[in-house]
Amino acid sequence: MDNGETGIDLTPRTNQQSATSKWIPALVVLVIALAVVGLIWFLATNSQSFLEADKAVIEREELGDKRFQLLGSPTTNAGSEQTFVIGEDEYTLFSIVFDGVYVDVVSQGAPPDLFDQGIPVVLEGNWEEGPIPVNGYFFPNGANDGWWFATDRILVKHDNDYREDRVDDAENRGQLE
Amino acid sequence: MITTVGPFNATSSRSTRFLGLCLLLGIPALILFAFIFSPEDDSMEDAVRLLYIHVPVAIFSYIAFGVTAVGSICYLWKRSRWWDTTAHASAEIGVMFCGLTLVTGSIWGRPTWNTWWEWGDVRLVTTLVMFLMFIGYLALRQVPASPEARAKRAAIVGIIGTINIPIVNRSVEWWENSTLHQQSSLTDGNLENLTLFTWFLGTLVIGITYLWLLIHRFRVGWLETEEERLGYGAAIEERQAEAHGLDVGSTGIPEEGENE
Repeated sequence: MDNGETGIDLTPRTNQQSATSKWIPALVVLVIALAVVGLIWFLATNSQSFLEADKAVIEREELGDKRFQLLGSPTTNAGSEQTFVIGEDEYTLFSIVFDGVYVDVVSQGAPPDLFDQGIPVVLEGNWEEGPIPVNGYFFPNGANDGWWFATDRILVKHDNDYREDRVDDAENRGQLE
Repeated sequence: MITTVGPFNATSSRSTRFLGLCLLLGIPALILFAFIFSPEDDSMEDAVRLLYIHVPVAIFSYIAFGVTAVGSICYLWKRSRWWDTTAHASAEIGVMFCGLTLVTGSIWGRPTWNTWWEWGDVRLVTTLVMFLMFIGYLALRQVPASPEARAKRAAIVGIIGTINIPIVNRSVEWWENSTLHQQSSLTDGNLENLTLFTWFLGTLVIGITYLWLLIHRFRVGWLETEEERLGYGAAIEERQAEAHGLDVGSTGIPEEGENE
């Protein structure tokens, strides 16, 4: 059918639903279902990604040089007396504690702004045994047992207390004595 | 022109104008309390001010997706266009709020946690999955189909997507050692004085924003489906007229005002 004045084809359209439009809804539902399955799998396999310092000490031999995330609270802040430059590398030395078990830490680079005594941190790195890069250093409030945790990434696990007279979260969680 | 189609002559009404007026007063008040009157945190300093927007938009993204689930269930039960339109409108606002939650959370994370994003963090990843699920919901609604088929498919996805809400919300308790995210400050009683008041004000303002947007988006959605329905009706009339050899005019679509 043709409109004589405009030349527009006014022939009634047939059903133009393409083959692709039929499988797109099924695909979207499938993707969402896969996302649910993937989410459950992720949650089931990552339920203990941070290893507390006390458990990490117990599992030290098994862990070997495997990289993992270590949880604990710094026993000191990171002042200039704990920062050393050796060659082109900057190291910060401190200790963390969880449930009364101490771990000495050698961190490459400067710690984040919120790093402070008692505020829990998650450290990414691995166990090392033997002398630390700074010869003769003694960790105040540390383990000093010849093992140390080498890290190049410090994340701060901040608490949820915004009161002015807050009780230190680390004390609540038994991470500080 | 669609302004005379259906029960609404415009998307605004006395109630939405009242809500809009509340927002005109509430938003400047929230800015004043969030940036000037409320104190900074001892350790987080000014980063704490993100609390007044991040937490409310997160809460209202849960509520918005919850409303989508309720609308989806009610649509499958009643087959009512009203519920489908409500579910759609709420999902759009929920996606916007969820996106804001992710962005403000990331801005919070950099100074607080020392990272913009952690792929191994359960709270962050479950929130991202929830965001993507409802992006999928909105994408599904754009796939060409009859209004009934589209509403039915969307309702199923809307219900599936909502399964994730309790997982997101409870993840910080269920997987405490897999997330940097803190637990709820409100339920633990760790907000007080002006910090608590400003948080409540932020929640109120975001809540009114949600309601205001929901009503407007619902009415726009209703007008869209009404126009679509009338378009279908006109097309059917045209085909029937052609079958009977009748003249239906140049377009076959009723002129403005004919549908009232």
